[in-house]
Amino acid sequence: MTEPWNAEEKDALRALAAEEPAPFGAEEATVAALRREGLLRRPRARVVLAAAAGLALFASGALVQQRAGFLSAPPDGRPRFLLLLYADGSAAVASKEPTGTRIREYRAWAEHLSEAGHLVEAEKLAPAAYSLGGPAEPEAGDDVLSGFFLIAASDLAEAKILASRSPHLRHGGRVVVRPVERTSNSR
Amino acid sequence: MEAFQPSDRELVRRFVERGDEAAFRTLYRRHTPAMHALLRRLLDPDEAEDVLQESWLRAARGVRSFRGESALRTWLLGIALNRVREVLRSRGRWDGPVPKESAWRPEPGRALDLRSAVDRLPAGYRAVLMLHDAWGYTHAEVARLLGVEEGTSKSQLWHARRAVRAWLTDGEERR
Repeated sequence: MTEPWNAEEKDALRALAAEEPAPFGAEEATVAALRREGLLRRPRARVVLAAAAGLALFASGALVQQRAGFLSAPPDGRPRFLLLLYADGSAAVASKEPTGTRIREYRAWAEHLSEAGHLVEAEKLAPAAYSLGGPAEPEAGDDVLSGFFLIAASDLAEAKILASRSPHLRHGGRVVVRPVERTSNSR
Repeated sequence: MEAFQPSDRELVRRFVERGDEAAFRTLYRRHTPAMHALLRRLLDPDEAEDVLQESWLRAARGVRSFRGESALRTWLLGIALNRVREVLRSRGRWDGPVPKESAWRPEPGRALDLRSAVDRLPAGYRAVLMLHDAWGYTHAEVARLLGVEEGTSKSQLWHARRAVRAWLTDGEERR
């Protein structure tokens, strides 16, 4: 039997069949619809203390601590990424926004990460740092690591997009995205 | 070493028995890319998104009746194709007339690339060609997915290939 397609055409057909990621927001819309129909029950996941990680970053020293509970993304095999939030340690940078506004912004971002099934863990770090090996303390003016978010995302590109929406960037901070290396112990 | 991935069967069980949202999300992420790819070949982007959601809602409501006779993905694609047929038939865009010879004649100097040629097919023919030649489903599986006889699948595939070939070659004989 004569083959209907040559090699190049077969490749082109396979390209047409290449998988397409879900449209943005499609998963959440579907999950929301199923919840309304009572077909889904939220997982009994760990409650993660979030938002507080982002709130200690203002060089003005307004270390507002707000404990808020957010549902943690269940282990589902997606890659994990660590978002490291740095602030300028010189205390020279301070957002002009009122504290309440900043709190709401960070909370909204953390809520979105949680609701969208990305947030795994988040913590605020205390100012004190104890270094074993190397410089004892960060030099004045260096970035200060003041919190982290561990998220699950489809890939690095998605992780970067999620990180880019952090209000931390708007308030003069820096967010470093680090892929978590998968090991046999990874969840 | 890959992290442990629950099987479709296990995830469906968790969803059916406990309404396990995490299980549903895993199924969604596992199978949506394939479903969406098929829908995008048959519908415009907005239609594809709507049908994707409608398909998942139908699947979630009806998964208790899924007996595992086929792979879960095949079952999900069948639901999506049912919805596509409903949408396109209501607009007269699924069953194109059986093409007459003249309708398939290539336009001089206008050879198409394969994507454009496939997209030019009526949706029903396009679905058969994609399912069989791109995704590798047998005629028996295509027939079940589209709710047609196996002979219809073979006939439509023959016509689809012939038309695409004509548009690709711009009238030149295929060696």
